[in-house]
Amino acid sequence: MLVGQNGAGKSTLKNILSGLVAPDTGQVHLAGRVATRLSAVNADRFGIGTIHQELSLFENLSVAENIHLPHLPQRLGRVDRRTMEAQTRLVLRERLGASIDPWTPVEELSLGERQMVEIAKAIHRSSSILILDEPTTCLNLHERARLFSAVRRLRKQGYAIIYVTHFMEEVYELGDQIVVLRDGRVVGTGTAAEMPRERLTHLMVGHDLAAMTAAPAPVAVDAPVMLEVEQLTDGASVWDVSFRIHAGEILGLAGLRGAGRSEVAETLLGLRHGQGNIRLRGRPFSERSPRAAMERGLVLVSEDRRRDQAFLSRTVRENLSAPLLSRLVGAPPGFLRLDREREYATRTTAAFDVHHPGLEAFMLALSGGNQQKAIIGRWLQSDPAVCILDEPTKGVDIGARAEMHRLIRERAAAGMAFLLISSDLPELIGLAHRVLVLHKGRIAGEVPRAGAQPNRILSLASRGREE
Amino acid sequence: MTTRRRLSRTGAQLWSLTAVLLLVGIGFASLSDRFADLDNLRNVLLQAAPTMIGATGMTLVLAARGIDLSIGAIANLSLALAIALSGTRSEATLVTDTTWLVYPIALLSGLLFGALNAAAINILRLTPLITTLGTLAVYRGLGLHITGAALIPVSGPILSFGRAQVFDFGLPVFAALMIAAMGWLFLAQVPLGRQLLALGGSPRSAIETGLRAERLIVLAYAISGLCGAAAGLITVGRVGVVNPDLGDGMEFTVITAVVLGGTSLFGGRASVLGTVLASLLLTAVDNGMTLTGANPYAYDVVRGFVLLVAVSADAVSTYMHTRGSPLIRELRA
Amino acid sequence: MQKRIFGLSLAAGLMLTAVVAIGLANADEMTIGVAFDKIEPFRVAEKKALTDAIAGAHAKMVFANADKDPQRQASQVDSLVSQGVTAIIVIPWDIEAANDLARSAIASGIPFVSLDQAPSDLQSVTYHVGGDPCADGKVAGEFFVKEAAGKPFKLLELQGGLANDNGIRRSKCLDEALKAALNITIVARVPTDWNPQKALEGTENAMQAHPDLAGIYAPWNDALQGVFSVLKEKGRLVPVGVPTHIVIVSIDGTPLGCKAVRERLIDLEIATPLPEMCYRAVVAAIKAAGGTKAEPHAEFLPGIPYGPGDVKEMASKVWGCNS
Repeated sequence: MLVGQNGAGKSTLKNILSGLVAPDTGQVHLAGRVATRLSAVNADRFGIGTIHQELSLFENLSVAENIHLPHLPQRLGRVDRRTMEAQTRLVLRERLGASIDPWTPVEELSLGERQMVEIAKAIHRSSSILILDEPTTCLNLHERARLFSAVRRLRKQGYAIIYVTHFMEEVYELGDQIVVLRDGRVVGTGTAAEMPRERLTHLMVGHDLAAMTAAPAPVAVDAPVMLEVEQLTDGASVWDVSFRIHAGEILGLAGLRGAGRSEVAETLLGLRHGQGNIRLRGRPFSERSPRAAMERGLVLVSEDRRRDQAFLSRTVRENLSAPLLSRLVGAPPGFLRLDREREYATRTTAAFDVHHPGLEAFMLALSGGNQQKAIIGRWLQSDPAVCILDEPTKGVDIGARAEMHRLIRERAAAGMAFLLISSDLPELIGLAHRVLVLHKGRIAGEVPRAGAQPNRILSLASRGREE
Repeated sequence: MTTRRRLSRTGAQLWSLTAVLLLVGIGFASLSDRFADLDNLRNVLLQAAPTMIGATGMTLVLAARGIDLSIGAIANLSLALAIALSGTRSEATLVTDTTWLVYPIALLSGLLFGALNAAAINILRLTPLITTLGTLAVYRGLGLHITGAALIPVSGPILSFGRAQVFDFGLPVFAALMIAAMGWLFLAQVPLGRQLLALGGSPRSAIETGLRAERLIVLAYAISGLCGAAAGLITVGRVGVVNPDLGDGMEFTVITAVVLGGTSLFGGRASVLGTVLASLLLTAVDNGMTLTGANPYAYDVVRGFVLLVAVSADAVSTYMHTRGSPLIRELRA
Repeated sequence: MQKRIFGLSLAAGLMLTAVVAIGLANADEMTIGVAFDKIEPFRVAEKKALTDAIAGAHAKMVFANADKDPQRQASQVDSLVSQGVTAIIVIPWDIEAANDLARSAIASGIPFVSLDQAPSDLQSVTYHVGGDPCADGKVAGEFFVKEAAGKPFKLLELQGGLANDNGIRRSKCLDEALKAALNITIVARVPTDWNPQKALEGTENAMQAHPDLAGIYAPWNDALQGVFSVLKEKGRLVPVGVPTHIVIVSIDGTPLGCKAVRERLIDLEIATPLPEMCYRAVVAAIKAAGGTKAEPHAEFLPGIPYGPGDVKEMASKVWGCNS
């Protein structure tokens, strides 16, 4: 288990081991030998297989072809499909316990299945050491469970596994040995038994976290309704969804993957077509578009914000100010006040703890977690009346997560209304005043904060009714 | 957080382009003593003006992840329309006399045809490449139809702009530099320009961020069309004819200049200053070759060679600057 | 999808039937297919001359323009062949590709006449008629030699298309005629692709390098406007006979060229016998369709030289002076 916060140096270490980056100094010993000149090409000869965070499969090719490339088995100069199929089945079923058809094109697979194909590919190259880099970030609960069982199975078969993560649960569910990284250094090692949760957190963050379970400030009795939704329907994934959010309220939205949570948000903003009455701060909101929503004080921090809301080829400064350029126009009229923009960006990065190599650096140069924080900061700093957060802490380390929760509570206390979409039940239960549960696009029930137990929410989400 | 200001990628590109421009200058100056003289500087600037103007417009389009292949055809059609509407042809002298109206007519039609490109892209949801390839043919065909594919000598105010002199330099030189400066300011400091770059960087993000993508596209292509018409006005003003070939192949020269200047073909990264330098480089090469009496078959070879050198110089400077390939740098980050 | 394919093939079938029906209906009437390489002022005049000649022979004309695209020209000729025209007159764009086009048309029993631009292999076509770019270039060269009269003489040579027979030979034969005259230096050869703007820039640059330029060879009339613009700016646009005049020779014989001669701005113009050329092409095409072999197989009509001195007498023979 290689554990550490975002930017602790986990990925760099992984890149050195897999030969993508050469170390400045130091040696890597493998099975008692010094491995010199480790490179991406010969890493598999040393028996190291790496599954990177960004999957690297050819989407247009089949599972079997992906596993075998670049050396497709040949017979008489032709690709030997039978051998390929047999080997693929062997690896997937025997080693990993997964049932995926070898000839399915990868683009038709779910993320969890792709992860399996990646692992199969690494094993097929006769690796004895597997490096998994944050393999669960994109997986749902079910897929995660399957991945865990595959990892356990491999461990039994004698593979050594380096598992890079920042999720506590995974550490204790899978780990034998734990290595904690912080700022590029090893700050602690030990077995799972030797390292209880509190100590691990302390090592990762460098200081004790403030109590994470603080309750949100109560909503004032006379708080006005900020967002009112009646019978929102998009004809595909959202059916008759109605709810209200008051000023200062955090409304949780739970549901399984595919239950239509993100779709509710997209329909509200006009990114999807749909019908239904929506009132924002008491006034009807009918001509829906992201821009109109923004002007009326409704913003969305989308789930895949790196892809859908960031401008990776532009600077950090420009990313932060993108939606509110009109507020930064000054003298001469029509032109941007770059000084004000910089000041605004500095303030935002400080408030949201975004680590960056400079405001003029390209967004691409930031680590994934910092890109996320920058985008969340962009939206919250613009002081919207209603903020929809779609998985705000996905892919964010625990330190940043606690920080994010604190910020949400703070803003809510100041009167901002939140719709919090999350797959992370502790997060929902800890933050929200009420939790709505979606099942197949319809609201299956509402759970008040007092009665919010994971089981109750889960059964509503998976069966659409309570036990 | 480092305080040391890093040279950006486009910054590195500007330096390498300047270096190549200087090298070419020194090379030609050593071959012909007339190359590095003030009169010739005037010539080069004047000859570069149409390219520079067209390329500034194209920079905006490429910044927004578009491309405008029809820019030369717009130049042709706008001028054809302008002289058809405001000119009077004399059968005796074969010359078409014009009024001042040619300027507003040509510029407005450039703007309009550019906006039509954008409308087609927005409404039909086709890629800009295919759309403007189509409009290229349509505009060119219309232009030929209006002029009857004839070479039309022109006189009157249409010549004034291309031939006017200010401080001993041609007026087009100042116009080109001014348009380039406006382009630079627009991208750096005007909200719409910034949004154009954002749109080019990630269209999806632009929409979710509440940018009016379709309007921005109209803006970029309309400016490109306007610049095309302006370039056409200068060329016609200088040559004194509207010929059916006007603007033929202009898109290639212009796109070459833009990309050579460091603007990404895939949007989101643009450098107007680079565009200006690259336009000068392309013109200086042709100018130097005539001055030195080069073999006519060498023109294309030298042009291609200078392009390759400029592109490799950029690659080298980027490498030195990042100490490694961009991929590795990204992995390290 | 299947429905669509069915619809398409149905439409194609109907169209084919229609074409065949029309073809049959007009079986006794002659149709001449004309395929141009591009449209420009000179071509417009050629098209008009062809139209007149074809109408004079009581035939119909089908016109196609390849717009400088060899692929397009190939498919245009193919479709003329499949339409079953009586004969084809082509101005080739790609002089190599033209050979194959000619062979396949002739193999289908349709005479193939090349006009103006000679294909690289003259044996491939039924008949060729064009100007004589080499003779024209030579006449120009000899004129410069005479003008220089043994004194040092700096000449700027503008060149047309370097991938094009007329362009190449108008330049090459000029050079040959000048070879013996050691007093003439060609200070620059500027490729222009027949573009007046490039002609302007080339002249501008050459005047910059050589203010004492004595002559300019502008081997097509459209270049003249660009050349004149530069000369005017430098104060050198003066009539023949004035000491600061720069000797200019041009080729084509368009109305603009004739006008420049009449205004005494250029010293010599070599007019291509355009109507004659087009007339001969049409006659040969119709004869060949009737089974008569064209004799001779290829004709190169030398241009008609004329200058400010004899423009009055020559005007009747120069097409550009009459239109």
